[in-house]
Amino acid sequence: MSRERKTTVTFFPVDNGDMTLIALADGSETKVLIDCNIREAADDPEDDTRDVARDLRDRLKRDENGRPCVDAFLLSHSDQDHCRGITKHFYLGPPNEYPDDKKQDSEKRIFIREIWSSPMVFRRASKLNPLCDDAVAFNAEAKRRVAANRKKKFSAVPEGDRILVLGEDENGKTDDLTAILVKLDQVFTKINGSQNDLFRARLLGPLPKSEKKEDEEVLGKNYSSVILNMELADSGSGGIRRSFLTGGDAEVAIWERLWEKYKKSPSALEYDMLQAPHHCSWHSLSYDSWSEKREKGIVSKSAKSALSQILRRGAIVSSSCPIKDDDSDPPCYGAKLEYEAIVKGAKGKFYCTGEYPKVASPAPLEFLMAEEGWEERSEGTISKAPAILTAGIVDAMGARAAEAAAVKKEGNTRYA
Amino acid sequence: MPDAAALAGRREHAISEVERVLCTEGGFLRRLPNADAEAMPRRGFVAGWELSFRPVERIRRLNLYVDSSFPFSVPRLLLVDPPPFLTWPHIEEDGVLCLDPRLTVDPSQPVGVVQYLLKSAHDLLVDSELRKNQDDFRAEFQSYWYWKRSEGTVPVYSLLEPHGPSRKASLWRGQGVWVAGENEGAVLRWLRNWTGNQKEPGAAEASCILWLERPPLPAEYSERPTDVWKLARSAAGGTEVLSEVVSEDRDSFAFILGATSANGPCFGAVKLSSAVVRNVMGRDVNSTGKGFRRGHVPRPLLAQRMFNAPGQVSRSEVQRADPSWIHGRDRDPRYETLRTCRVAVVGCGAIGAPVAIQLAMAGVGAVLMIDPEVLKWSNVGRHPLGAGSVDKSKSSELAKKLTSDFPHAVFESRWQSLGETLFKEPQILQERDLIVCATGIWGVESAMNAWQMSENVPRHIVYSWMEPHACAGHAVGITKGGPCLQCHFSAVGDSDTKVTDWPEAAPTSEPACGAIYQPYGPVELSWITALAAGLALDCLLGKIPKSTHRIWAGPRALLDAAGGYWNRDWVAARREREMGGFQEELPWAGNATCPICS
Repeated sequence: MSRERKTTVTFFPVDNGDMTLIALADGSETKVLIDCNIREAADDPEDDTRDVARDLRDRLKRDENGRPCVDAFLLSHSDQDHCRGITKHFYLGPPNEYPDDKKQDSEKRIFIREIWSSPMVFRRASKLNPLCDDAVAFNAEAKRRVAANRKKKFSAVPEGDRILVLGEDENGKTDDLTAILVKLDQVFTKINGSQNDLFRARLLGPLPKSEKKEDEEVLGKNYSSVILNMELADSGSGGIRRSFLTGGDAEVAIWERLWEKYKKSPSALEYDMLQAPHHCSWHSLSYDSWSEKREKGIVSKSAKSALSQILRRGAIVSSSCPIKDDDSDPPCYGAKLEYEAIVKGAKGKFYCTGEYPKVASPAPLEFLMAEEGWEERSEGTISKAPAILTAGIVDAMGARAAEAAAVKKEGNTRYA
Repeated sequence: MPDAAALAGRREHAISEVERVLCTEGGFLRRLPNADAEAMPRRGFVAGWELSFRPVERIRRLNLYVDSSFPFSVPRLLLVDPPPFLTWPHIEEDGVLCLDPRLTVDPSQPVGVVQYLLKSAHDLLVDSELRKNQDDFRAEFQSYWYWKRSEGTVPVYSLLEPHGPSRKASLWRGQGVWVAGENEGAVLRWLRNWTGNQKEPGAAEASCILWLERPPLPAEYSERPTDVWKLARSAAGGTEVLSEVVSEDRDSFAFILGATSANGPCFGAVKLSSAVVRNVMGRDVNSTGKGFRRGHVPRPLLAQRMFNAPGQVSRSEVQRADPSWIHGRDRDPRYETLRTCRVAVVGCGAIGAPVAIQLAMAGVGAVLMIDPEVLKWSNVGRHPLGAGSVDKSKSSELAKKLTSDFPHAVFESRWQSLGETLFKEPQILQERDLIVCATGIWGVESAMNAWQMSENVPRHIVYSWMEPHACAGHAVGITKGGPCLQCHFSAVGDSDTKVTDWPEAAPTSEPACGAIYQPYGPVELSWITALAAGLALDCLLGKIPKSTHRIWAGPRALLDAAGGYWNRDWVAARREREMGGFQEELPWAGNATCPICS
């Protein structure tokens, strides 16, 4: 088919939180969602908060059963601002028990064909604080899927039961999951069980469990998250390819370790787009407190180096509230200045989802892959996915057309 | 008629209407970016929408497109992710659905039109998914075979009779076209006629036609030599016919497939090329002859080897050029009679030449044209022969043109007068089923009439002439034994059936001796040639048992402009004749005082 379709990355305005949709320009229109943060206010039609659930659903395809679906859902880590609303808006459970098929499209929960989850991230987070309900439900779903895979011996696992485990768990708990396990530094190219020519991702985090107790504590306290550097393309061969680095809420100690690991081969950290870690938190760049030291705080050279591997005309996106010149963190004004310095050197651009297109009424920030860097797409050019025409609707249309005598079948009875 | 800007406004309004009702209110369509709509330049789409169906189980994504003529044109639907081409019928290679080529639409109801199309597309997809419409592949075999023809192949023109059984045939292979026929003589004769004898076509090769029980489905189209053999086995006598025509001397071999579909006979051509096998000495050898001296492989074994060996199969489209197809696409029952008819046209001027052409177009099998004159520049404006034939014999040039235009039929000419013909070779007129005399010259007509009344001559002679300025025309079909032409003419050729009168009877003359002419145009003339050709065909088809007179009266405005009047006696018989512009049929009554037939 000659129709042109572009690979896009969309950041939804979810305040301090993440919700990012990757839409690949392949024939299947593959969609990968990274985190979700759908607040109650966003669901309330009486509230002015942007209805991001609707924004998301408008961009999703419907599967063979008419269910809105994503091909993969990546949960970077278990904080509520990364999984809020998942139980309400997504279906978690065995695929053959999906209960919404007879509901209207707008009421159907989103079907997740494949989950990408990290047990190590959950393990570290749960040691520090109790998991929120959404995180608990997601973790349970991940475990259910792992069990379903084991039961099927990792063969012919249906959509809805599929899972990729990102990073090894402690104590060899993932040793038997080779078929669904992505190890640290491993590159994977499959989405929902199928090879995808437009997608290639390297797993950079979470870092494995450290033998040193202190070190492990640091990793836990630094918001251990899934860190992926994804290479996205707009066509299978010879087309444009762009890297998108996302790292959840990973903070300074993690980025320092990554720089130490990759400083001799920094291409692993190169990006055309970076989702500013932890909603533009100062703590991704510094051990100091922004509110206490402001500009006198020391920026970690290693962490900044890890986050500075920007390519020409790259972009950095802070998925956060509007960034003010005050003591708040996140988002942090000081971090914004650091990121702006990074993009300036690459002739790129810094964005904040809470300020796009304007602070008073933020809207999804959508990027198209372009010849150089990324190209913003204004909201007006984004339209919702059409409703499905069922037999009943089509029959009614046909009856109306017949009544109106809008056409005449085999009406062309004159010749020349 | 609205101007271009008005049409563009109409188009934008229609597009807005579709958007308002089906997108905004219904939410069933989503506008595509213009670049998407314009991504298929051959289609000329200017706007499009995407939509989703669930015909049976799976969701199907379609795009709806309109072109620059919308809402006067029919929108098209494209299946975005179609199954492999030719898995489902009525879906073109680029995914566009072929819903109803004969559909007409009300331009004032663009939304209704789109709704109708959505319903049709849905029904098509339901039938396709449930495999209910696979027989459509058979009914429209010709189109699907064409779409699946092999790259680089040339069309095959078929002169073959459109029916079974499987039989031997001949095939001529040229650079840009191949020609298949029942035998070599027929093929080469056709080629010589078609090319005007400009180049000797050479020889045709042995081939065959396999007549199948029914047209194959796309999945059954031949891809490998074994597929060809399988098809041959499904045709009664197919393998036997194939075996008879294969030869170890040929690296390739081509034949025709035929079958009767729900819409009539259909054809395809298949070429089989043997794979080249190289021996240990590095020489190319044909493995089909292995174990036998050259030319001694038993034909059944040879065929079996050819179709079981590795080789290349290619498919070509077949375009029917047989007369049954050309003259009525197998559906005109008159053709079976006309193809056996032999006609002579005496006088190949402004009436005789078009009549000869129309008889040839109708399917008359043989036409002889007689005329002693050459074409002049003054004839060109109302004669089917053009400038290229000036100063050449009208009859010869006409026969040449018709021979090339209808290479399956027989056209002869005599560059001589009727008198010479009757004197030298009267039999060529006697053996005709019909003679059309279109000279408008009383000497010729009266001679013809006298000859018909006295000799063993054709059953019908049609005479045709026009009155001054082509304001009226006549065609008289004289049946053997009936009243003769002379019955309504004076001894010197004055007709008593005149429709018009003129204040100045003398025709206009050129500045040359005897070069008289009538100023009139080809348009009014066409009514009169149709009158004559129609009567000639009716005579051949046995519809004129008695001598008959057909008159065409031109419109009154034509007569007024030329300065003529309706003939008083003719109008007096029926006052409504005054308005003109009609055709009338009358019996050609006998005249008790006729010196020829009474």
